[in-house]
Amino acid sequence: MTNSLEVALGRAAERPRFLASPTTVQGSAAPDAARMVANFAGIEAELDAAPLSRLARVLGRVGVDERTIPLITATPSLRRSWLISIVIAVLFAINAASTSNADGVDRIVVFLTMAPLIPLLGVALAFGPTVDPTHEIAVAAPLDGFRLFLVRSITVLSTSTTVLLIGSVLMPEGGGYRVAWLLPALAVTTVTMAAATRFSARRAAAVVGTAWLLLVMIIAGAADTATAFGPGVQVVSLVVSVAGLVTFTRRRQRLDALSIR
Amino acid sequence: MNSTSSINLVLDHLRLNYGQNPALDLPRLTLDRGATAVLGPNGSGKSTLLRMIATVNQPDAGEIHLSGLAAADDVERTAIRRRLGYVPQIDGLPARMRVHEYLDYVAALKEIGPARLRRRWTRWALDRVDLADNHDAKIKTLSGGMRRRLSIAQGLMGSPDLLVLDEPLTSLDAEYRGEITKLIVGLATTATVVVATHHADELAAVCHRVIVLDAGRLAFDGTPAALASRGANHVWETDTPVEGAVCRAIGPSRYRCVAAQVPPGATIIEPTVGDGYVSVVRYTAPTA
Repeated sequence: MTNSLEVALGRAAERPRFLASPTTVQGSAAPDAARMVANFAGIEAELDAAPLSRLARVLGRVGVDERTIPLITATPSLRRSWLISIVIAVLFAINAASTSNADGVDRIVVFLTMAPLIPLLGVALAFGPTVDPTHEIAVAAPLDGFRLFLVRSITVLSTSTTVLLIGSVLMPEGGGYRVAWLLPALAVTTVTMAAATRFSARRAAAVVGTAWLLLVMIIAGAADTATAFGPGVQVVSLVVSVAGLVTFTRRRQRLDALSIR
Repeated sequence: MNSTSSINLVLDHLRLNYGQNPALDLPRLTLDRGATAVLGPNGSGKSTLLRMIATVNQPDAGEIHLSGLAAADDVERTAIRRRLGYVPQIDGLPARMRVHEYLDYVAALKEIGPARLRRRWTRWALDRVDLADNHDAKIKTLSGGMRRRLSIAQGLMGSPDLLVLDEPLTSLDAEYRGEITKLIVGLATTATVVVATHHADELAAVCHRVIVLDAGRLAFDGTPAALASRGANHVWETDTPVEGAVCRAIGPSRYRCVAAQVPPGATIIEPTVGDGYVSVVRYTAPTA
């Protein structure tokens, strides 16, 4: 099996500046031990340096804790299918918003209805045995399941929300309502995270997503856009978001215990 | 591994049901430092037991303690996981990641830090399984045997006091089966190692203790020599397989057979651990 020290010394030998010249000690050629130790210390950092991905380097520069970086950089690798599904969902939402006006349906309502479901989809695919090949390893590891779920959810949410925001800004119409999906998205996502402490993330997302669609159908059926996504709904969304976050945090131990069932 | 630490795993009357059917129903077992092999037919409960020990599954009844720490307690379970290495039966390796990225990720899951320390553990673990030259390879480019060794490497990260390995020799060629067996036996000098395997004569035979499960119950618990002795007077070699006996080919037109009754005239031979295992699961009723 490969000996790391041999590799280290091999690399040192390739660099003339690290070659220790024999020192004469009482007439005999002997290596200068102190010099060798100092030289090795010089290359030790190089030996420890592994190639970092571009994302890892960027995260390090913006101050993300270096223990958290592998949890974030691993997420896209574990879930390329998740990323693709989100992109498809975003394209679908934007397309729906720009083409569904023919039969009289308010196109902005379609967009505002669909947009909160996309971060929800990301959270549903962020954690669990069916979406994560390393789930069993992660469960048996000491890292808090709550923290892992949170880190992955934030990673997923930041990606999908950014894409959605760009899509919102590029929409030709809608005015301030183009971003009225943000607080409802936060609300359904945090409620899903709270529910994931009791059920699987996928099941929680399915229930919350369905409930959201039903709610919008009821409200939008009885009112215009201004009412359906107006200040009243925004305030309620904010309150629900806070309640969801508090519940999720309070029940964090349940998330960890649930993972061993 | 800390050679001075006291490692004591207690499996106290574990029971688990799948629906109405008992999947596992065991008496109290205590495992100390050393290697314990878990043998049993497919579906006998080996992986279920190992998943419980690895705190992945929760028993319906009974308790697991590692050196006094209870797996049922939230805080103590985390303390157990800090001393645990687990190699599941199915590797579950993310195909698109590189080998060193995967081990870095596992190290982060094991709360190993800073990054420099994680990289050293990665190198150490890859050295143990002879994958150091593949540290930058994408996992999808590795052979089945290499993936298995990578899976074992992740179990070694952090040098756990309790190492749980489910079928570690699967997909490995003869050379690496020997290397990994030596590695496991070596690790067992300082850790408690529990290994489920079908390789009775290659791996179980060199463990300190063997447990045989049959239909979720304990069928045997003792040393490899004691298990082998259960095959005494039940094993013979013959030119043709015998109906009603468990026969395996050992050469052209040559079979090694185990049965409750040796046919008249057959020459009885010395049983191996594998022969004793067959005798236990085929010709002995479960003891618990």
